[in-house]
Amino acid sequence: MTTCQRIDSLVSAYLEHEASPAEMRFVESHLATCSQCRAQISEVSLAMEELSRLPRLETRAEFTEEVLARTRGLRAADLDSREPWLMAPRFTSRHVLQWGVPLAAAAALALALVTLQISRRSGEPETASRETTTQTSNPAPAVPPVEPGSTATSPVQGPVTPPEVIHYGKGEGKSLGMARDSYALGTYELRTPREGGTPILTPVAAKPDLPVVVTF
Amino acid sequence: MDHVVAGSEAAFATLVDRYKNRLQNIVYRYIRDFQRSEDLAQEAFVRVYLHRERYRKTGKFSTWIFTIAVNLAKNEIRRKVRLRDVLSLDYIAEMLGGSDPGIKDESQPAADRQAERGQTSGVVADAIAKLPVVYREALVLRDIEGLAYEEIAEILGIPGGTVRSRINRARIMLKDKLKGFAKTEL
Repeated sequence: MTTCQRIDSLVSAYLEHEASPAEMRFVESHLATCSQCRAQISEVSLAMEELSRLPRLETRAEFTEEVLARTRGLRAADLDSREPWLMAPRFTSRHVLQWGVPLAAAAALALALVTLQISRRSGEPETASRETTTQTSNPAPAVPPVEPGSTATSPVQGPVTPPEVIHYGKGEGKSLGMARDSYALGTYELRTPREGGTPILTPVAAKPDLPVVVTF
Repeated sequence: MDHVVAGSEAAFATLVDRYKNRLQNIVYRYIRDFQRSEDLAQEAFVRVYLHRERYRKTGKFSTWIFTIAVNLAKNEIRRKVRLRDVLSLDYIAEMLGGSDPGIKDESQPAADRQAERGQTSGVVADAIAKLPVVYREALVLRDIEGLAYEEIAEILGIPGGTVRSRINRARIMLKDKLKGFAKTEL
């Protein structure tokens, strides 16, 4: 290491008077003879001054109230879990614009491609092998037909809204623009705070009929 | 903090008011996205609230909350890197060029951005944003937030000697970038 390189490693300690007396003497004796290192120290000192003059950002006036609203949306069960990623993210119009629009466009494109593929296949003549399979297979359906309006697998009567599945990941499903470790795999519901404002995505116990499921 | 642990909303509001600007400033210097830095600062407070009973009185509260904010900001950078990794060739060029991705100011309100860029502080802010993140974070915590070396070491989870050498290196890199800008302007 040359003397100038050693001075480089001591610049901050020298400027902040944190160097040992021996190091301070070493730096000063070198600066007396090296204009390059003198310029280096002076410029670093100026850069530090510029940093200290940077303007401070101010949060919006609603910041504190929004934080309180988010914590009010958390239930005792969430607190008991103590998982760092059990959070209550906010849905905002910005999230919708940032993630919803491009993903909706991608979904529309995928749907168009699938539709095109299906329409092409439906236009193809049946192959010999398919005909053979049809002829040898049992004509009776394996599963009895389901009456419209009823479900064969669920005893629940009446319409059940399927949960909206949100995938976190690249190019699949819908992303909320969220940090992965902020969200648990699980079921969430959108709750509007009592005092109104932005709906909060709140984790709940797994219930398949609730509106939002987040998967990774 | 005792009142916060006991569940006092008023005490929690006071805590938020006391730290909100510093927290958002730290996160903003990491990611340079005004709205997202606000989201993440809020998220840091929500985490404090969720884990308030875990707070150890032996440590400084500021160290604890700054650590949460720094980790959230780093996660955000990683998330942006992952997205850009698959989406953009510019990202690869940025990586090869040595600057960090995920720090372009894309969602700061235009007026704020213009105001910052119209002054010397805008140049300095841009130069900070171009530093590799390990140097940037140390520099921000020391020279903008004014934290002690020991506290920075605790927040970043690295030895004090490493903090000192990173800050020293960061200042020299920043000086070089500012010098480069001055030459370009002339």
